[in-house]
Amino acid sequence: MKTHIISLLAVAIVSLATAQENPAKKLSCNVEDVALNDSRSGQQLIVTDLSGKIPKDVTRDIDFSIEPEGIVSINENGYLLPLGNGTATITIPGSDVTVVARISGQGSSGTVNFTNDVVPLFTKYGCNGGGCHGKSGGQRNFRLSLFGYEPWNDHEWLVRESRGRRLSPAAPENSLLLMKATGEIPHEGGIRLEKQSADYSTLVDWIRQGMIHNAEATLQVEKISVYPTELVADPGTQQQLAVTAYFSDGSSKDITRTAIYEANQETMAEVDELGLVTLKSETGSTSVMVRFQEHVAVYRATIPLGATIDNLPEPENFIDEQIFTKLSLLGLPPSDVADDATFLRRVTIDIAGRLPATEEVDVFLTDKSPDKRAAKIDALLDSPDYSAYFAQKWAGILRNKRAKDTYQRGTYAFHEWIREHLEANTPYDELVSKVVTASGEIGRNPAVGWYRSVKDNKEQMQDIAQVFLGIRMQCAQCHHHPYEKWSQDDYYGFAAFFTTVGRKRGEQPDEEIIYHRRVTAGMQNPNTKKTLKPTALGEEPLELDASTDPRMALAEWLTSKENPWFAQMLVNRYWKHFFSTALVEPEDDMRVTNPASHPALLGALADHFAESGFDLKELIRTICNSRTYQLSSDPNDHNVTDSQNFSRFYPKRLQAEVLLDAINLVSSSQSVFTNQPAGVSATRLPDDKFNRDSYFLTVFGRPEMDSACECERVDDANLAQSLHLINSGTMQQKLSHDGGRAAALAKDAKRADEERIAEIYRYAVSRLPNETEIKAAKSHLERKRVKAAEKKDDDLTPEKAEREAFEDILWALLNTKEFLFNH
Amino acid sequence: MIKVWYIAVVACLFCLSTARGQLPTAELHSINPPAVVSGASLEVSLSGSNLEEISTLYFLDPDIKSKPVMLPESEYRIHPQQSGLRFTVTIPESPIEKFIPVRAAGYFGLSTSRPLLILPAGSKVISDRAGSAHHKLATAPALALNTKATGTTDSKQTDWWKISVKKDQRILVHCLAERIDSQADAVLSIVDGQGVELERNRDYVGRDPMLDFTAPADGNYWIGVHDTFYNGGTNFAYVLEASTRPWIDAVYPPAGKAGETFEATLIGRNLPGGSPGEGLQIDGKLVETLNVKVAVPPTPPKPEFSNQSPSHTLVAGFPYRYKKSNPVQIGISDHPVQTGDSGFVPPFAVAGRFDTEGEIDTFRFQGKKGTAYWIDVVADRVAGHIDPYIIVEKLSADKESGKKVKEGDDTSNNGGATFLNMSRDLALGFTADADAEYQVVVANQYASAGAEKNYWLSVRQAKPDFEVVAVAERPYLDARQAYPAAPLLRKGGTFPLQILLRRKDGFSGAVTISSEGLPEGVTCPSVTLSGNESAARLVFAAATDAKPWHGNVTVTATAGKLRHPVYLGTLVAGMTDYNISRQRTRLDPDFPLSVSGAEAAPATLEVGGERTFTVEIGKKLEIPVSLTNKNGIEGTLAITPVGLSGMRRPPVLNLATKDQQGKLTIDFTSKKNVFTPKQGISNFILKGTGTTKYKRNPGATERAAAQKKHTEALVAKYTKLVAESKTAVAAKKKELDGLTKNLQTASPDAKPEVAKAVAAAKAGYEAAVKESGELEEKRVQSEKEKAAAIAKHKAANALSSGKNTKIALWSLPLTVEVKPAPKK
Repeated sequence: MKTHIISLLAVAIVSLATAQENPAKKLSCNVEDVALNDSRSGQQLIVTDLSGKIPKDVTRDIDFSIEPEGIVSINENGYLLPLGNGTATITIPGSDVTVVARISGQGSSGTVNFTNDVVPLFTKYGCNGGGCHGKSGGQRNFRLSLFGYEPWNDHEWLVRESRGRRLSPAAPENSLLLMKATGEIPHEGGIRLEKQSADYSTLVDWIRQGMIHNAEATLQVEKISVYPTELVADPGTQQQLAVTAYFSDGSSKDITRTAIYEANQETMAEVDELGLVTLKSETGSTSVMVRFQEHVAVYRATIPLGATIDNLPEPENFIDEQIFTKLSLLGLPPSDVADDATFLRRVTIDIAGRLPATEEVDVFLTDKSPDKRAAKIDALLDSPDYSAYFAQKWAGILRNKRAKDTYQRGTYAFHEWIREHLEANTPYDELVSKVVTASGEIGRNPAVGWYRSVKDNKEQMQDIAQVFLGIRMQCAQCHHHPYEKWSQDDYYGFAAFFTTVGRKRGEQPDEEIIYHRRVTAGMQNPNTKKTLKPTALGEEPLELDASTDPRMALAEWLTSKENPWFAQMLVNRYWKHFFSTALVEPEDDMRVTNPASHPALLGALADHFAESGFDLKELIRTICNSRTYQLSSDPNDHNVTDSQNFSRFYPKRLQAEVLLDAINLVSSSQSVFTNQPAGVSATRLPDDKFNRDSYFLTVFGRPEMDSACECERVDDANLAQSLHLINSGTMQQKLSHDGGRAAALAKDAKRADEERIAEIYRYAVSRLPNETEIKAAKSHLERKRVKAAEKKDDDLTPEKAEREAFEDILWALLNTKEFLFNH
Repeated sequence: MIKVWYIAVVACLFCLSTARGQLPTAELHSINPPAVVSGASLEVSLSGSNLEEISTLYFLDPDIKSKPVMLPESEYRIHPQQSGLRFTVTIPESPIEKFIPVRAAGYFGLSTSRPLLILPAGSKVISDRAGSAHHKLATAPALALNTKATGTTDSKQTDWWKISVKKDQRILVHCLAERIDSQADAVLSIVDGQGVELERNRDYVGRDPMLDFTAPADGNYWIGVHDTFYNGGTNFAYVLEASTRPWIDAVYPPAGKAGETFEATLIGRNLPGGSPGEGLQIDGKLVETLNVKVAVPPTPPKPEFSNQSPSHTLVAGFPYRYKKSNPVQIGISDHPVQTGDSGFVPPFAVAGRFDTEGEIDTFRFQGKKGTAYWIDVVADRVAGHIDPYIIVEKLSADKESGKKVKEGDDTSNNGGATFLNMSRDLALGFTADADAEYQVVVANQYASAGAEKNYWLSVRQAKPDFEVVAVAERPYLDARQAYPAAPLLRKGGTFPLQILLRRKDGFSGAVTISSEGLPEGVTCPSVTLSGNESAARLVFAAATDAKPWHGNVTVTATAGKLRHPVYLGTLVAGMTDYNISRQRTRLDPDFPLSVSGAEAAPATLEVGGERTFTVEIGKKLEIPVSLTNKNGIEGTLAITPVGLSGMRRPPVLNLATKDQQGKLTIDFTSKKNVFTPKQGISNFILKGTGTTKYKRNPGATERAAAQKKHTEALVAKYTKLVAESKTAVAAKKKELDGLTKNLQTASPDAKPEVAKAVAAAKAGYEAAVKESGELEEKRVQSEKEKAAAIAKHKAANALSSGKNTKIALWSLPLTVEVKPAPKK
């Protein structure tokens, strides 16, 4: 990943340099030598103009000169097709680009390969998609393997099923397959294929040649590549992609016309079925996924804004260097660094899950030391609030769910265990190892709580892959992963690590003991019936005897510094915690086809994390000390729409627990939770059961801990939340109870109004009110007092009016975005 | 014995809601404080259910005395009254800290037991009275080192205690909760002055926590105690101590040969002369080692009272203490316990320890063809938290590979759903099929490691033996309920106990359970478990004229020359649903029995003729049943056989009470999911369930009526006296007014005399007013007492007038010899 951005920048920088040195137009082509040896082959040519500041695809503007004629043709998209045997030279007038095309094998159709030529067509035309014949059981009695991952099955079903009626070797054009696909006879899926197309010919040839599978002779595709891999390009630019397949015999072939393309963010780029990408106007980076068989490749495009940047803060660390370099490349000016009050509130919420105490605000704002922000970050990390807040986060990820009342002791213990380890700053690799290899009973080793929540071996593997590697293996349970290299064998081989996990009765019902059953680990692939040995992703199967707990080997591999996913997943997760948007979104779906917005930064963060000994506090310290984190959330003239370049801090709604605690703090009230100490913070609640105690937590999206995905936590704002804040009984009670802040302020007549109003602001938004705010609040107080003095309402005594006025001010402030959001 | 009447009668009426389901037996729930210094007297209070008319506490040691705390004498009480369930306990001096069982003796006989912690003479104990001051660090009470504090957790709070510690001083904070049968599942933490948590522990000794804390600086620190779920109250007691006394975590080897002295290494903390040199750790804390010589008794002593399950308590061992340390159980082996890893020749014993996670140990020995070996591993029952797993392998000729011969995990639970009695240890036997080298592989299923994770294992030829536990539970239980009970006989009634027989080393002989020391009018037929049985019921029966009694009886299990005492197993607490509650079981070192002096059984369920039957498989057995109805069975009594081996759906005889006679037919034909009769001798018993109108403690109603009458009389008396006094006051007032008037008109000469008379009249008047006021106060108090007495009488009357109550009647044990089906 790291090399991608470097090459991206290199292209831009080199091209800039080239343009300065040689103002004449400079073109280049993606290939210099083309060899086609059958009539179905072709080659995508891409001509790039390197003369300008940014390289530009000019393929569609080129008049190619071909000598001699009759050997190849090149269409308006730059796609070269063979016409006859021989060698042709292609040149571009006005440039020194020359491409030599050597053509052979024309005049005969050549042998059509089922796996590499036919099956990809089913994928290209959507026949074997999940919504069509590729779904389980097929469509209208005709089934194909999903995305063609099982060509042997496809061949069987096509050729032999239904007494072979789908294909007609005697008259290939009359084959049911082709007549349906071309719409000659009714087809629910409509017309998928033109009769005049080369793909139609390929299918006809294959049928005519006897519908051979010949798996043994099939060259295996080992990888594919896309050209270009990444570029900086102006909005509106079009870029043709060229895709090459590399085979097991060392040969390669252009597959631009049979590959599948999918844009990751359609708001930033579109791509057609021929691989032509059209960039839109949104600034930032986007990607296009290219797929062929089980192989994937990615094209990344960066769309600059091009504004002048003269306000980059001095980088504090490598995070800033990476972020600011990209902002410079994009021409996207960052917002200013946030003021102290904003920073204090932001970092306290993000690290400790609470609002800063008013004393903290006072001390911090008057502190003149230059390193006070770093000192505050350290202090927060050393506070018990940090471990409590992050324990809540991890309790959700590790599914500390109280599925039954009998789970309660265990969920409490597991939550506490997580908290203690975070407080002790146990290295992350050690922490993960303890969870993965947990044995024993929950009282002594609460980490087994994870195995109680996640009982099924396959689910255990899926959770481990998703939580600690950011790899979603679920798809590969039934078929090859559509966007990744993972096969069913990978799935069951990885799940085999958990097949020796045993359970037996513990001290009390549902407190089972987790242990290693002394059997040989293995899991059967239900499709091939093959029993797979424990196999780490991308690794060779392990030979483990029955006495060895395979989870030990798994933990060792999982947490190894050499594991390419382990550190990246964690830093991506934590990046999202602080910045709202992960470098890879969603944060636990990290794959080649879902590239990071800042690949080099992701790599650097992961390296830093691993080199620190997987020190979680150090990671947080690094993130929070960056100027990037400390940028203001106020947008400037250029970055209001920025959502991926971190040119400003993206405000986020306070999490359910944090918000409830904040409201309690500001209103001086408490929430009561069953089997918890009086006055407990909502961030310290150990399991999901408390969502049932508190509608507030439910409506503001506290996770139910049903899955390992942090997406369970709802961070959006919605109408139900607004209504709850505006007029719920819960809020009313908090604002108006006798021991609350409003009541206390109303009684405290010795203090000036300004002072009392300021107290509310200091608690709620960690700052003093400005003149306008004081004026508005005082005006409201005065109106209430006058109303009481006029005695128009018998119930409104002066005391009641005073209290209601303060309740109103509190209510208003608690409903502001400034309070509800971390900004 | 002082005849006293009991406020406790009424106090316990509030506990009756739980007893309405069945005839009550006394259950002691807590003793507060739960720790008493020996050589001194201390007042304790009890809580429980059915603790009516508790006159004394009952101890095995007759030198321990108790007497009830009485309310001061008062005219409002017709008889002397006890002040709640409070007793003054006097304990003779004890050099060691130990637990003793305590029972309360009252109307329902002896109660279930609770442990009382006896402390050596001179120990310092403070009773917690800080209340809410505990809830904040700033107001937390101080706890001196090596002083015990007794308290209870408070609902939704943490109890904070302030301690003063020197820099680098190592203290161990002990919290006893589970060990004193508290409902508190205690959690300990320690924080500094800023509230930063420095240590926390949840489970160390069972579910009791222990903190190992070394102070980073001189100063105050705060120990926090709370229940896991932040529950609190009387039944959530704890004993807390911040101690510098020695603590032994483990002894290695954990066993020694009977009657010999062996070299052992103590592994612990604050061990006098101990060294941390070996670098051993427990839960990340460095522990010390100390080499000592340990003398092993020739035979296991009577087990000490502990909170361990019976299977743990009955392992051959003895408690060992070093100076003033905690007791640690050391095993008693028939052979010297080796500590090496080779040179084993059966029979042998060897010790092992898991120093790294996932470690396995192997022990090789030469086996002789045809020899039966037994491998017995003891770990969970005496040492660290280990779950041993054993694999026996026969090695190949080149010793490079092994073929699995046998493997095993855990000793099974033999107490069924209502009485968990198992351990993680195991014993397994195998017979060598060749002269070959065999290998025993020992693994720890917990995969945990540490200095205390040790075990000892013996490989020997079979030494057939057995252990027996008798379990007392409420005679009637609804589905999924499990409740403890102390055996209580009502006149003419029976009380069954479950006999759980665990056979060891392939023991297959018959075992006879018999009892001694029964009081007059009580019988208990011996029960013999045949070679294929592991459970039966022992039944105590009281004659209709049995005298009230409570005390200890002796129950013994005999098989040939083998003879073992039978101890009473008990649940620590009852459960409304054993499928969701934790079962805590333990062994009582006594065997209590009570005969009610006031109540008779509702009916007697008897089997006509002999209680021994013979039946052939495929035939039916008819059992004549008779019911002697004494106090009234409402409706019918459903009679079923219980304990018949292979019986899943027992037949039912619904016996109408008017019939009093019937025949229970048991079909010994094999029928899937109903009954699979097994050949041989089986013990079983008949249980009849029904309803009776139970009249609870009529005597209490009579006494309440007398008290009510007494207070009514007092009210009448004081009402009258008050009226009279008011008249007297009026007369005095009149006299005073007259004299005062005279004084105004008296001549100067007469004035002194008249003034004197006025003064005297005034004094008289004031005295009358005072007396009248005092009488009025007494009248008011009498009214209050009367109201209370009426309420108490009403409540007592409601109970004694009879309530429909579910009951179970149990016959005496029956025996059937099941013979094979006749050949056709």
